Amino acid sequence: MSRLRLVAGLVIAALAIAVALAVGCRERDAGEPESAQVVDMELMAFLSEARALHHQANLEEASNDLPGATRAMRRLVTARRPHEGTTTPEVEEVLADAYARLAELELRQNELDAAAAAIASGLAHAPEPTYFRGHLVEVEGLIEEARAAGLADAGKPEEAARARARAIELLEEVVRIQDQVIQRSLAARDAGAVEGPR
Amino acid sequence: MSDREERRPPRGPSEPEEAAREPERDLARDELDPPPSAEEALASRRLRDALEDPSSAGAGEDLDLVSSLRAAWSPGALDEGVHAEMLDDLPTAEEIALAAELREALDAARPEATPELVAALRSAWNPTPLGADEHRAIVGLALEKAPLEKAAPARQGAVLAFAPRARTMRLAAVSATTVLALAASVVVWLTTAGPRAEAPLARARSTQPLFGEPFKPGETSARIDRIALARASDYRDNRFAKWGVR
Repeated sequence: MSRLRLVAGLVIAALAIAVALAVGCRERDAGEPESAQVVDMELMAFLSEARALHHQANLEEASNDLPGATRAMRRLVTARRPHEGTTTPEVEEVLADAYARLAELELRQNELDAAAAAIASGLAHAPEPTYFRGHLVEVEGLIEEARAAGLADAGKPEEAARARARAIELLEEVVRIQDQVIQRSLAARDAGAVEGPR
Repeated sequence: MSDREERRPPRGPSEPEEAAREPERDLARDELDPPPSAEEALASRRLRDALEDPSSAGAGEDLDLVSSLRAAWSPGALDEGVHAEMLDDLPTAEEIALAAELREALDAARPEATPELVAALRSAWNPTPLGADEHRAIVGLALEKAPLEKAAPARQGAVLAFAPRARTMRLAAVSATTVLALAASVVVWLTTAGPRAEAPLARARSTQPLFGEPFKPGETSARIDRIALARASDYRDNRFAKWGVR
């Protein structure tokens, strides 16, 4: 009887250790990218739609229909997104880039406030220092530069100076962001952990 | 005349002398033993009637006194049931002798010389520490029954260190090995099953690595082209992986 108890105790203890190890391994693995969404049909459909709308905007631009191009971009930023309720990196970055192009189109049409609003919306999709965020801030700097010129033309030198200073500050921020991005990219490439441009 | 006077024995031989002295004696007797009162006379009469006929005893009569006086004056045969009951309540002579013997044994000054029953009773009533010899005898008796001691009688009574037998050691080793193997298999099963099977699938991730330099104005559609093409390749790989083709 005592031997049976000994064996039973050993079995229970070993199983408890095994389960603890297994749970620990799973917890450790949980932090890896496996928890992200798989590249699936929904994501590809959104990317395809974005690509189509960008090329549609290209055609509109080529025919000097800037409002048409702007409408195409607005359709993109308001399009239904895949995996609603979750954040997908590709979707966020495509939206950030679409907002940047929308802001550029608004800027070319001298719609500075609309352009600034598009930038603000785009920055919400690119909170980290990336090329996408850098590009958004760059366009924002261009908007402020245009605003400064407009204010100067309107005989408002003080407001023009403030806008110009704001533009310089933004363009300086662009330099900082892009430096950070390049350094991170190089470090990651040295570590061999990322895919390169194709 | 009272009842006592009725039962008084006959008087002495000389009646005239006695008669001459009668008034003097009566006077002295009356002083020492006054005549019964009416109440005493009535109680005496009732007692007499009850003695003659117990069924005529009144409610206030002391029946135990009546029956005791009657039995003393005129004893009769006991009822058989009552007689048997009285005999059962009384210890027999043999029982009395055994009790005396047991009492004397319990009081004896040499406990080791007493019978087992006496020792057990004494130990239960007033336990005392075992003597060294008695303790040794008990241990020796127990060790005689042990299998090890049968195998090595020369060691009887000796205190031995615990030595697990080879069979026990083998059993423990086999059990531990089995349990460890089982635990390892559980670990392998838990860590390789489930989501691990999906690990090769390409997952959503930043497109930043697709671009080697900061974006230039007017290249937005080129970027979405690159992103779409890269993820289309991933998607195609994922579909092949799900189909089991690599």
